[in-house]
Amino acid sequence: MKAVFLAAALAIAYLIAITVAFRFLSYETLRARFMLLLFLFTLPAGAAIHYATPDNLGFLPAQWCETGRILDLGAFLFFYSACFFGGILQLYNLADRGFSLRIVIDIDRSPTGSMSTGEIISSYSAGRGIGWMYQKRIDDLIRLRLISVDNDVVSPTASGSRVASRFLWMRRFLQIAAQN
Amino acid sequence: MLQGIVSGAIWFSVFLAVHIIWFHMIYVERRARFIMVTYACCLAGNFGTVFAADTGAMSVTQMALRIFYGSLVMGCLFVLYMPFFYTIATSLSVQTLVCLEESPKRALNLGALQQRFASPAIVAGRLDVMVTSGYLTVRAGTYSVTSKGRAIAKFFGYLKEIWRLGPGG
Repeated sequence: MKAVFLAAALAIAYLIAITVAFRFLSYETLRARFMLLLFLFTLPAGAAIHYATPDNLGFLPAQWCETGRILDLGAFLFFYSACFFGGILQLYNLADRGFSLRIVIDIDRSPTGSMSTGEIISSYSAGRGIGWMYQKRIDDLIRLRLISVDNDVVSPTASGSRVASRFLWMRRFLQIAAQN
Repeated sequence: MLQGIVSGAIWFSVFLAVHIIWFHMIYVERRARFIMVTYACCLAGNFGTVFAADTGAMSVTQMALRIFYGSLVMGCLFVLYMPFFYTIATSLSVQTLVCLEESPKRALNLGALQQRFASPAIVAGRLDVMVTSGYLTVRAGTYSVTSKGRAIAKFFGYLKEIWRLGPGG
């Protein structure tokens, strides 16, 4: 159980650290990258804390303690990584880029509390419009060197083409291609 | 601990196999519902495995710990896998790449892409999903948030403020 308690404590500490850091970072900073770097830095720090602390953390009952230290360390790193990749990073992605979520927030904050499809499209993201949302995706794909734009013609780069063919295969295999 | 972890990992593999094979073989309309039901069945399978592995020598605490570890491993693997699945299924960036890859010349006009992915049809599709999921209600062509949708909007609105993210989307 030490693995669970330590992973939860480190995840909470990480959450507090990025909350403080985000208040000082400029809007232009690549925050997801910053989050990943900070996470990688906390991994060895977490392993050191795990090594330095007693198996029962000073308060856990003996029955709850794992005697295999390597197993417990592995479990701790796995639980902490899941907290980061499946929890904190997803929370950030959703808050910063969530398309559906932004629509819900826009409707909730509208003066009348309700919106038509046309109003949703024009006032998306506090008035920026749906075109801005898509341009943001295009800009990100360019920044990641997955596409290039030349005279308004968009084409995938070599790596973009590789990524696309993998996703295309997965979408076809899972019968997603025909949906959306 | 190890038995719980192994049981959880095996049952998550079962969930993954069933979900992938089923989606491959049969067109699933309500994907999220199917995934949740399959996952719940596998979670119950994990409970059953821990009970079945008991020869009578295990204390209640040991059994509870094994179930807990198994469920935790399954939960962790689930939260790691689902964002990946939804990236494949719904990401507009992925759909853009796929659309370019499928186009005859592997190139499309930016305007054509915008017309396709920043279109009323895409928004209408998302609105339909949110109505089905209970986040929005629709009356005479106008959408309002439900109490469930409002709770989500308030939570993320607050998170955006304390993380200074700007409107985003």
